[in-house]
Amino acid sequence: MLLQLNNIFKWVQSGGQRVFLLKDINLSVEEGEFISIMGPSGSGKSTLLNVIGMLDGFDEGEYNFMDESVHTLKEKHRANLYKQYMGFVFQAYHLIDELTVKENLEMPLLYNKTSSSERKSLVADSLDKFNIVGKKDLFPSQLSGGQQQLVGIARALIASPKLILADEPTGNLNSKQGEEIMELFKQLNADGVTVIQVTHSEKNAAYGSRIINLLDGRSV
Amino acid sequence: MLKNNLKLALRFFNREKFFTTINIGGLALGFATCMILLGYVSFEFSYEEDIENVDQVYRVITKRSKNEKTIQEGAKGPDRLAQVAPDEVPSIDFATRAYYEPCLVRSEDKKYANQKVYWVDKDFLKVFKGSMIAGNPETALDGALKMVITKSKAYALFGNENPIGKTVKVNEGMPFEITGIVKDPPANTHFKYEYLTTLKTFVYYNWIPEKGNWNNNAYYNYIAASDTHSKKTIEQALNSLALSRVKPNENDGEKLEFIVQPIKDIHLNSHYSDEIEANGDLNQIYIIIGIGVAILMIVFINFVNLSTTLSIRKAKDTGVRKTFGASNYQLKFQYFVEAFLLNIIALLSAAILVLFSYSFIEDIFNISLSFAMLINPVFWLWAAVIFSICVFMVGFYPAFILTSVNVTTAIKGKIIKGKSSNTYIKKGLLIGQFCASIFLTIGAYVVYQQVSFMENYDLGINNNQVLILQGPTTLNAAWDDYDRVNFKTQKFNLFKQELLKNPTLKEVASCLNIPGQETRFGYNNVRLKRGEDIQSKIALWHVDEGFFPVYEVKILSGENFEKDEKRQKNEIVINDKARKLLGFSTTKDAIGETVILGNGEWKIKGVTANFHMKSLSESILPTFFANRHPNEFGYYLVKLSPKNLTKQIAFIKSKWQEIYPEDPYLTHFSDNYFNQQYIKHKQFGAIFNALTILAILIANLGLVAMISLNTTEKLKEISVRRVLGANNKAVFVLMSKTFINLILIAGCIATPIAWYFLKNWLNNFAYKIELHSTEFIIAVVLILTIALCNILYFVLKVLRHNPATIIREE
Repeated sequence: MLLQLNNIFKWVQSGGQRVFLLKDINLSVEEGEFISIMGPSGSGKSTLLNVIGMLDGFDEGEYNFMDESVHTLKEKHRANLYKQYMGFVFQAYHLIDELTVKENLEMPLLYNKTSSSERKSLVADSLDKFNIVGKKDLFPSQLSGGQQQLVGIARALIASPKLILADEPTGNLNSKQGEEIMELFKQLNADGVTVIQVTHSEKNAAYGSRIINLLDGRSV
Repeated sequence: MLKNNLKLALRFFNREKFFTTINIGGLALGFATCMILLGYVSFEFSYEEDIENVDQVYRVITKRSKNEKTIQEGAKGPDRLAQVAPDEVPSIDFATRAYYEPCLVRSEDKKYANQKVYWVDKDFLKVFKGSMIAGNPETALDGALKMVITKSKAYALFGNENPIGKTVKVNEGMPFEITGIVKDPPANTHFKYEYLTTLKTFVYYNWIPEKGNWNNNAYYNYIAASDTHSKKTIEQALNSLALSRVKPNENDGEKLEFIVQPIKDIHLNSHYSDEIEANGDLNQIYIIIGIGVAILMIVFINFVNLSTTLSIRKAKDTGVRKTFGASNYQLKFQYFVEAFLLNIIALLSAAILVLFSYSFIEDIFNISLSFAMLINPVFWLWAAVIFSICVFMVGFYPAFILTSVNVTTAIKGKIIKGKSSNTYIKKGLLIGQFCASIFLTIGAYVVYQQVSFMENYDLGINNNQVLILQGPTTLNAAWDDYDRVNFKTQKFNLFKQELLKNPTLKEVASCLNIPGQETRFGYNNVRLKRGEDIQSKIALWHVDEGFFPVYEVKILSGENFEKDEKRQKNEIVINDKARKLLGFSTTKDAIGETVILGNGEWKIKGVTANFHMKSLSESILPTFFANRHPNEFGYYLVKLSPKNLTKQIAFIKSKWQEIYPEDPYLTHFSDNYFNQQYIKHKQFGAIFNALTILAILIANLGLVAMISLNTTEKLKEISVRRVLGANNKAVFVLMSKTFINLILIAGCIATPIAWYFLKNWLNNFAYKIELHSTEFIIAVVLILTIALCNILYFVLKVLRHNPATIIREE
């Protein structure tokens, strides 16, 4: 068991009333799974992903990640946990504009204080693996959307996380680029990385081993 | 890691070129201003540092009072003091008198007028230690007709020859032997002598007795103490000395007191009468330091506001970095690397700016800058510490904003948390900036008004087209040497006759002192022949019958002097102030009355209207005018016609050279001379103006950046409003509303403060402008207009966009 959510509630206070973003979510994810979260706009897909990624808190319920109960952890421990085990991929890639491809890949390693030599070899491996060695000194603005997302995924994987969280990773891409990225996720999953993606598209969802449908913050 | 941080910082500057340039530009201008001000202030505080053991050297201020009322308090004092002080007061090692006269100095082939000659005692060089280059300080000034001169004067008179042992002639031809050479006095001393000669010479010529007395105020007195902490003891000892020599009960209650003044305090803290030069004013220095701090504040507010807003623009990146594991500490460190880099670049630019501009600035403001502190490592240590503290202080808030972002919202490019407090702080800082701008604008305007008020004030005399010629120094005579004085007078009469042959020259006069100068004679009391003593400061001017017509002074009652060829009559003309002092209710009552001034009896011949002989910082004194031709020095006045000045002046010059072949022809115009009294105020006004313009410029740089960012933030809102039908005016109002409010609030805060400070400043002047609300309104309107012009520019820029495209992009 990689992670388990039990009766998760999340709400905001609006005009004296609780508006639920997540309502009684129960979910357990095994290592090696490829899960797709689907649902219409405003159904709570991204919120759920952020809660899983510990970027966002929740108001009620329990969350266990690798046998640690996240809801009782202090902020600092929680940060250490997601730094170590999770990688994020965004719809808008969110590469840092003034860093080159190589430096973007290096960034997470800088923050977890990997030594210089190790950083170099990890970045080199990653460039090699994703076949972007030739682009290592280019800036994001010099890359196509598909290439940017490739770098985004490479960056998410550089610290060897157990879990990849992807928020509509193909949303800004055309269908051909999107397909390539999905193939890549499939490949990664086959290599043992657990993937949770949020998506609108049935076709992309089909890459996964399991689909979770949300509506108004509720699992259906 | 640090290398990585630096690289990131440079790339960020590159991305935000516009804001980085504004930020660095503003900081650099501010830093450069502060460096210049530091140079200025450190020069002003460095006075007299060249004197060895400067902490042991004092000047003695003389204070005379009668029945607890101060009659006189001045830098000059009695000549007995320095003669007895070293013997009578154990902690005084040496003392010297100094007497100043601008003299004519001649070598065999060269002639220089108006030289700064000081007549001193033999121990002068032991009080003012460390200046001797050649000669023996023990003997150089011991004896009559000995002279020590400065290096540059030695060169001017004798070129590269050794001047020691050579002879120069002074004024009418006194021969002095050069016995020593001293360093040129530095710019930072109040006492800038060119020649030192001995008071023994006066004794030698029998002009003064060997032994001085306690009842005159003719000499500056300087003393050297044996240690640095005996100021109090010396003051007490001198005062008991004075009490034992001038006994109040035998002297009509007149009391003599001394104030011992450290020589280092003279330049900025001393405003007694008879100062050697117009001293600086500590308050003005503080005001200038205050403006410097205000500019620094404006600069740092720019920095904080810009950085904060840019932090928000970086929110997305920050969010991403946090997602990938950046800790707050790491993000803050990155931010401070940026902040330091920015400030250091600005500091270096400022240093370069100062390097290239400082001599130019010294010239236009007529100030001296001193950067001597740069060789002091302690200064660098302090500078580094203060600089770091400043950067940390101004960097703290943007860094806090930067790291307080909520990751999930930040990734979407928005900051929600902290937004409201953020805008309050930003607004508060902007108000602070506007306050400073408004305050300085009002100040600059009022200072300018006061200075031009003084320059254009109706002095009661007509200063225009009055040419002043310096009297013939070679004809100087002792006052009781009647033959020589008569000779001088006859020559002047001839000169006058010759000049008046030219019909364009209207009037010629002679006088001892000219308007704008300290009078040489003054009294502390006067008495009507049939009345009591009246205590007051009274000026006595030696003039002739031409003086009042030259200056077009109104005579209210009685008449002007008659031209007297032979005997000088004991008649005086008084001004209206003196008439009041003497207690006459009308000007007519005074005519024919006799007053006793000093030892003489004088009959009042006329009463003139009050007019200003000195700058408007001083009130008009009760003044007596005596008809005397100046026995030594003095000035000749010629009233010219307004047209063809060059021709008239050429004529005067040729006549002068004909009649006074030995004396140099030295002239200036009376109005220029008079206005020189305002030079310090004008200088202050000019510095104030320049700093104000600079402050407004820097504040404006920040304002442009803020408006630009504000426009970007509001672009969507404006577009939506335009789609919904807002016209151009509405857009302008929307964008300017906040800034107008802020400026009005700032105006409400700044004007009372400005009013308070300016009122205080104006109290330095006996004649001053009134403060009106106009000055305040003009300043606020000016700042408002500048801000609105900036906003207008950005509004026009926004209006060029098609609102539909902007909305679609969102």
